[in-house]
Amino acid sequence: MIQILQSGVTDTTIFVLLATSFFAIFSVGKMLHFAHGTAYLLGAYIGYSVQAHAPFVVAALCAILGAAVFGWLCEALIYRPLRARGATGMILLISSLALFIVGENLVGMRYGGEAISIQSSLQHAVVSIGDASFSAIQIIGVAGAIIWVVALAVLLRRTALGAYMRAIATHEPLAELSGVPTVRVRQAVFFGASAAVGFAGIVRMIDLNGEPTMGLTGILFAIVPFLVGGGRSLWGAVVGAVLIGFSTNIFSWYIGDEWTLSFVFAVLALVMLVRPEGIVSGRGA
Amino acid sequence: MEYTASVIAFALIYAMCAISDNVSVGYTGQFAIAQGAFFGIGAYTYGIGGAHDLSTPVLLLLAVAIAFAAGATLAFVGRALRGDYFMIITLAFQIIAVQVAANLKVTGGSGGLFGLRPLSVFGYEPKLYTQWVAVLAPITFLVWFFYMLVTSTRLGLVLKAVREDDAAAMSLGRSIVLFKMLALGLGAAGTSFAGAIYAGYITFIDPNQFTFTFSIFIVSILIVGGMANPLGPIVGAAILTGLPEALRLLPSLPADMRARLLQVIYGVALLLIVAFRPQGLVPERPGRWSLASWRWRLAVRRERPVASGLGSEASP
Repeated sequence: MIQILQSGVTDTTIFVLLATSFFAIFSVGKMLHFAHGTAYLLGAYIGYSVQAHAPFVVAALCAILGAAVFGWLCEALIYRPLRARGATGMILLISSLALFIVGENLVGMRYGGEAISIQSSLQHAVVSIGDASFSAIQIIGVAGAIIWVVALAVLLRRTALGAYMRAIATHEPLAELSGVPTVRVRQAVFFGASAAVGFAGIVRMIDLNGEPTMGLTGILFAIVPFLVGGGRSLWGAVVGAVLIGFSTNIFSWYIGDEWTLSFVFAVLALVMLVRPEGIVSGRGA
Repeated sequence: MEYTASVIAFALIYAMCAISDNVSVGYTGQFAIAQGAFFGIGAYTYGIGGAHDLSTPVLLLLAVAIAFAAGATLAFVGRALRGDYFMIITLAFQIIAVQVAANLKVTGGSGGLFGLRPLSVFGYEPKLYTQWVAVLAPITFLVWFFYMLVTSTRLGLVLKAVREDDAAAMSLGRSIVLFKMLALGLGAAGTSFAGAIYAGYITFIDPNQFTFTFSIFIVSILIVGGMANPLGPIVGAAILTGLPEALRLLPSLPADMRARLLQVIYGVALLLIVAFRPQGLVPERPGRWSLASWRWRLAVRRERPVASGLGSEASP
């Protein structure tokens, strides 16, 4: 059991970052930002490239900043002009899929399709609980995820930006009439949320490995916990991510890795059928 | 000549997929990206059934029936979900299908199935690519004609009504869930039929041929060509299958790089289309290709009262 905890820690950390940032984008963007998986992918590969020449802190900053700029560009250059022309959610989703395809294949062309990994002193165990030991990068990941979730919760409840975000999530035309700068709020949210998955990307790259298809699994593990958690609240996304993170690890421990994604989607289909409002019924952002 | 024919043969197979998925994605607005899975259902049905010495018509019928059931079930599972959420359910089905194909014994695992029985049509076995085109072209035409008929009747209008406003369509006494199941079933059936033909053409299948990438490719054909009309899928298939040939003019790239570059180009093409021509190259034109609306127009000309703007209730 303790080994499952150990192997599930990184997955859960990453899923929390993915699902909560996806929630933030979904609530103000009102769209399925598929290229969020690409921001995660870019974080991992930028981290990989910089880590070869510079210390971890620099690599992590570059990964976070690179992913954030990518997310901001998606919103500023692609989605906003499309929205201004009255594009439907479907058109936005298609453009997002297109960005996703371009990103994955550009990374594949540059780095090849095989999984890559890096050697780092952060992979050594630093903390042991019973039989399980946790490496420095796992601790960094958990700390980062906790800081991110707490910061996001405080932001949503205690700041003007958070109030704007909740206003847009609840009723966008009304928010706009009341003077909420929707364009700037959206860009800020895309920037910040993409930064979070950039961090998730480098954590995964150092702790496990990276491959061009991680963008797809990344976006799936952003959406599924988000939906399982109800899709309406930050805490729903967190609960969904923790649940999916540990249950997938328990599942692959006993059944096998090759069926994990099927298991995750079976859970999703079940939740969708039995309780479409998700396991956590929250209201508003 | 032979080379051109091989390209055309692929274009025809992809066109069959796009033509049938036009019913679900285009007319009904179900943004499904499980085309790879349905295509694979057909291909594996052909491969596995062929190994058990079933005759070709039986195999094709089985492929169509299984995929229809799968599509209808999928639509039932996602019946209450709107656009983007529905896409996630179909994506889930797509990914599970590939995992199943890659992990079962009967599908040959990730190695796939090879040495399949080549397709024979009424005892005729095409050998040269030109002969293949001669066989595939009439088949594609029949598929196109079937789906044109299906969508040009009142069913096409009802499906569009479901797409535009399912509450309004429901208020006219249409069972939304049944029509959604029918549409996705029809789309899946045609894609699976194309998959079975493909398996008989290529005689080697593995799970990698039926992934998310394939689904996106078929959806791209529809978006580039234009949806909810019978010509868009053909235009789209011709362009997106022809595009890689243009790449041959570039200095020789490794196969992997070429495939990836192609995907990048598809992605950029999609972005350009949604930015500058979101309706696709052949836009939807209400009324054209529609028997029901002809009848409706005649009704209007005779100055009969028209009950609703949906058209489906217009003629008695």
